[in-house]
Order: sequence, then C-alpha cells, then structure tokens
Amino acid sequence: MIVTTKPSKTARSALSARYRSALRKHLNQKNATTAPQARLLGKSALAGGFATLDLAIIHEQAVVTLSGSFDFVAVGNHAIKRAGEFFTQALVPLEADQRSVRESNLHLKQRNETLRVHTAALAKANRNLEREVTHRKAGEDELRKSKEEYRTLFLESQVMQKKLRQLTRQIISAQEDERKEISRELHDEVVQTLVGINVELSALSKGTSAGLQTLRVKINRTQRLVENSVNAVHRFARELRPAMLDDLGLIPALHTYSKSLAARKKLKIQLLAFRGVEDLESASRTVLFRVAQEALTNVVRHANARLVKINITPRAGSICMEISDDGKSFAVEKTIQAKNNHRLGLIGMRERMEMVGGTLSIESAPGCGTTVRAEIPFSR
Amino acid sequence: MNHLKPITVLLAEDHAIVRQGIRALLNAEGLFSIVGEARTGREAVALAQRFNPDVILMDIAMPVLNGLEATRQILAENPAAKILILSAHSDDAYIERMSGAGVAGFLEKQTSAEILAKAIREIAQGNSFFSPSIAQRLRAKADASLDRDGLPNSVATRLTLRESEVLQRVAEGSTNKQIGAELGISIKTVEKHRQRLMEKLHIHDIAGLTRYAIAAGVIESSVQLTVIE
Repeated sequence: MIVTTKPSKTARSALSARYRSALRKHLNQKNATTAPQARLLGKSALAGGFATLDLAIIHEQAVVTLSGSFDFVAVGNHAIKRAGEFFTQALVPLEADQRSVRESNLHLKQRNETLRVHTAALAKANRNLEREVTHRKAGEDELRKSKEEYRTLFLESQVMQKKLRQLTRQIISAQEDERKEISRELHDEVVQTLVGINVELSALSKGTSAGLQTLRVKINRTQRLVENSVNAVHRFARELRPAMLDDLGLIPALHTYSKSLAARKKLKIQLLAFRGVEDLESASRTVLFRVAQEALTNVVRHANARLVKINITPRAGSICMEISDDGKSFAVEKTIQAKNNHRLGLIGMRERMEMVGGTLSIESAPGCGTTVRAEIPFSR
Repeated sequence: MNHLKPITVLLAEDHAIVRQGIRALLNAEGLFSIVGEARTGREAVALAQRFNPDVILMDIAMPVLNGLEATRQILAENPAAKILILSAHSDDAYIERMSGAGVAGFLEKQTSAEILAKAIREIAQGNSFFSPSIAQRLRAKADASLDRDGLPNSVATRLTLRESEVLQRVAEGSTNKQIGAELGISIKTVEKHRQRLMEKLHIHDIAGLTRYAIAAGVIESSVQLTVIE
C-alpha cells in the first residue's frame, strides 16, 4: 500500500505525544504486555502516512523527553532495551506494510518481467509478421508479374497457333494442288499409255494370222509406248527427287539443274562450288539442293534477272551457300508475313535449313537484287 | 568373232525382273554366256575378280556400293576390264562421270533391249558403244565445238530448218500450241516436225531433247562451273 500524502505537522506532534505517553506507560508497567498498544500506534502511524524513519525520529524524541524520568544508562533496569522492544512492536505494522509493498513490488517486477518477455515475443512475432507481409507482398508482385508474363506468352502462343494453323492450311492446299497435278499427269500420260499397250497386246495375241512383218511393226509400236511411259515416270521421279543427287553428288545435280534452267529461261548462271560440300551428310546436301532450287525458281518467277551466282564456300566451322541475282528486289519481311502462298517457299527454305541445324537469311535491296544465304555447320 | 567360244558376261543389276529380262534376251541370241549375277556393287567387284568376264553389264543405282564406285574399283584392279553401263539416267553429268572412270560404253536402260546384244559384241571386240541418243549428243557437242571454230554446223545439216526451230522451242519448254502460233503453222504440223526430229535424233522425251539442244548449241545454256578444292 502506497500513501502519497505527507503527514501534517499537527498529526506528527499528535502521534509524537501519543507515542511518548504510551512508551512511558510501557516503561512503567514492567511486566505488562504493551505490545498491542505499540502495534496500534504503528497502525496509526501507517494510516497517517508515516514511514519507518518518521517513527524512529518520534521514538528518539520520546526517549530523549523521557530520559528525565527514566534512567536509560543504568544497566540493571533494562529501560533502553524495553523502549527498543516497544519501538520494534510499533514498527511491526509498518514493516508488515512494507513487506506487502515489497511483495507486490516483486510481484509487479515479475509481472513486468513476464510482460517484457511477452512484449519481446510480441515484437518478435510482429517482426516475423512484417517480414511475412513483405515476403507475401513480394510474392504477390511476383505472381502478378508472372501472371502478366503468362498472359503475354499465352497471347503470343495464340497468335503463333493461328499463324501455324494458317500455314498448315496453306501447306495442305499446296500439297493438294501438287497431288492433283501429279495425279492428272499420271492419269493422262502413264495410264493412257499403259492402256494403249494393253490394247496393242490384245491385238497381238488375236492377230496370229498376221505376217511376221506386221507382227514386228506392232511390237515395235508397243515398245515405243512402253518407252514413253518409262520416260513419263522417269520425269516424275526426277521432279520429285533428282537421282543424280544420290548417284553423283550435289555439285553435278546443281550443275545439271542450272544448265536446264538457264537454257529454258535465257539466264546466265555462275556456279562456284567447294568440293568439300560433298562430304556433308546426305540430308544436308538434299536441303542445300532444295534451297537452291527454290531460290532459282523465285529468281525465274519474280526477279527478271540476267545473272545468278551460286557460291558454295567453306567458312570457319561451316559451309555457306549464297545465291545472288541482279534482278528486282522484294520486301523480304512483308512477303514472309503475307497471307498468300508466295511466302511458303521462303518459309520452307528456312524450315529445311533449321531441320539440319543450319540457318537461312535473305537480303534484298533495290538495285542490289536478292541474296539468299544458307549456312550449315561443318567441321572438316 | 569366235562362234565356238561365247562371250562371257557378268550381270550387275539389283532388280530381279531386269536381270531375268536381260538373261532371256541374251540367251535368245545364243552368243553369250552369263557367268555371274551380282545384286550389289560389292558382289560385282568380287565376281569380276573371280570370273574375269569379257564384258561387265553394270547398273548405276545399286545398294551397298553403287555402280560408279564398283566400276572404279574393278578398273583400278584390272584396267583391261570392259564395262558397259546400263542406266536409267543419261544426263551429261552421268556420261561424263562414267566416261571419266574409263567405261567402254553407256546404254539408256529404256532403249537398251534392241541394241544390247550389239553393244556387248562391239565392246567385246574392243570398241566403245553408246545409246544412239547419247551418241547424237556427243556428236552434237563435238559439232558445236567445231562450229565455234567457224566450221559448218552439222546439226542443222541433219535437221531441216523447220525441225531445228521446233527443236529449239520444244527444248525451251514451249507447248505445241505456242510453237504453232509463233511459227505460224498448225498444231498438227508442229506435231509432225516434232515426231520426225525425235526419230532422227533417237530421243523421245523433252528432257533428252533439251539436253541435246544444249549440247548442240541450238539453245544456249550459259552455266559456268568452277569447283574449288
């Protein structure tokens, strides 16, 4: 219990008087028990707001005042000891009160300590929480960012898919056209010829009465028909894939193709070829042939060129084929982006090159013609 | 020719039906003895060494080792070996490559039946032999080179002016209709000229005509080839 008001002067002198009188009584009644009175005084002092020190001063003053009536110095009568006993008793309530204060202080301290621990724990928890919040916020940012990225990717993939679908359709329709053409030609040329042969053979088997000479003429005619169909099939096979590429190599195949094209289209072609190109794998050589074929077809169709140069040269770690003409240029990107079948050839060239680990680039500028550059990795 | 001793022939061809046909054709002549049949280039090399035949009939497109490589190996071992190429392909590049390798003759497969026996006999006697269309082309080439020296162009002497005009346009890829319009004649007449010049040259397909026309200088092919090592 803590008393905040300081005891007044009057209260002090009143208590001082009561104490003196009680002490006197105590000292006079040698064997009586005056402890209750002393305690009572202590309680009053406590209630009046007096501290232990105040009571000690009051006791001191009382002893000084009473020293006229009692001999505190004489050893025999124990007066000083009895005064001390009284004082001790008077102090009990104050002491008791102070103990409770101490206890509650201790308690408070303990509470404080607990609180401090709790606060520390709370602070720690708080810090953790803050960190967690920051973390989550960063995570959310990350999530938002990746969400945006995914969205962009998704949109891009949608565009690509659309393009791919479109391209697939174009390829399918081009393939269908090609098949139609081959089918028509097979039917018109080969089938008709074979039917003709069959008719001739039936005539031969029936016409046994005919003379040897007639027979020979008929057989001869049939052989011509067979020859024609062999030639037709041969031509298809050549168009689908030149056997020369496998039998003799890329350079003779390119040379032969160039000769036939140059003759038909009044074109000049300069072919410069590194012999080492024949050491490339068969698939790579085929790709180079197809790229050259496509590039030359484009020159004939669109460029109105007079001179085409095909250069196959070794580079560090690769073989490079360049096909350049002196004709009209074209907008490369625009053509590749266009939605018609013209770009298929360009895309096809690039696809073929990438299939064998190579690259393809096309440059075209007004006044400079067009250069198709195909490069394939190669180590000697 | 010694009729008592048949000409020994080694047949290198991967298609059984073609082998059968050739065997039947040669047996019918009664002058030949087929000593071996090879289905791959490697077998051809081995059999050529074992039998040392008078003439080797060699296909180009064969598995394991192609006819070109087999020819090289056989001639490297025995330069006197007489090899007759039977090929479905007769572009200049093939002829040049095979002649360069030292073969005795070259026949187009599709026209070989009638002249095969004759070709084998010629080659067995030590001559060379080419399909008529190839021979024409080789001659045309020689003529064209003579022509550059100022001598008369003998291609034109073999063909009429009209025929060589038609040849040029056919070789350039024109249709009969276009040729007719250009020359001011009917399609039927164009067809007639075309038929006649094909008979004269022994060439019956457009690709062959183009090759002939280039070789003869009737149409100009200005392709310059440079090979770097």
